[in-house]
Amino acid sequence: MAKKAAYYGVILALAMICSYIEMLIPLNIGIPEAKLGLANIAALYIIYKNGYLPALAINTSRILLTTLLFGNVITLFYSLVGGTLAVTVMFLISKSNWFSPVGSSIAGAVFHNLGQILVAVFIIGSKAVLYLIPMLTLVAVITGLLIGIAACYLLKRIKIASA
Amino acid sequence: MIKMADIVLAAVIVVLSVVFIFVFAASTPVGNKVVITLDNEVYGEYPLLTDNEIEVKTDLGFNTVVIKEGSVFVLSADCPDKYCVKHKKISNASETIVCLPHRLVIEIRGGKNG
Repeated sequence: MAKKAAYYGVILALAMICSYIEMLIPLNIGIPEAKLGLANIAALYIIYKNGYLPALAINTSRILLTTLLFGNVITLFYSLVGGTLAVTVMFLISKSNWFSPVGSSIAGAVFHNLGQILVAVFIIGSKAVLYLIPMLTLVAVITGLLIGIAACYLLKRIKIASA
Repeated sequence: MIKMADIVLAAVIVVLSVVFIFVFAASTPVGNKVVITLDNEVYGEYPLLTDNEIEVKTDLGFNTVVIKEGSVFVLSADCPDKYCVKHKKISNASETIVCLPHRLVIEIRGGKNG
């Protein structure tokens, strides 16, 4: 139990640092909503090592804690819906033998965006934001690919006893 | 480590996105008015080709919307994330600037069918 707590604690801390670093380096490509999704490396790692529920728990805790520390409450709902959808989709794809973590990561990034935009449509009540989907999806494929490759290397190299 | 299915997945998503970008671009009429929506209610409509400066003030805060030489941008705002201020200028129909914290949507629409 103590080992488990320490293990998930370390991963959660790493995920939070990823979120923080991401805030320091804005991805300036004309679309202010676009993000690299560094914290997704941690989510992917847990999905492949420990399964769905631990990944969902780590990701949700990460979102709640980073929002509390340096975010704002308005974006909390967007992050939660996007993050949960992404973890779910990445887990489903991880169960298929056809895809590597790179495929999971790409699908996760795309669905993270879709989730956030659907929440935006719901909250703002304007369908205008739907027009952002194709551009954001293109960006998500690229960021998802990069994050997926990083996660692949980590899954292969990191040798910690997963609780 | 990357498998065939990953590449197929990425390719399909990219092709679909590009197709939709073109579909959206083709289906939008030439815009000529700027519509500002607050919390899903139209706040005001302004001609795109007349330079203007609109101060949108609500209980949530303010956004200064500037219309200049056929394009629209947010000059300043007191929202926490400032995404609306950082957003690039918009000038084509159906392009939007959204300020989520203030529930503000700035949209360019066509004159007749927009």
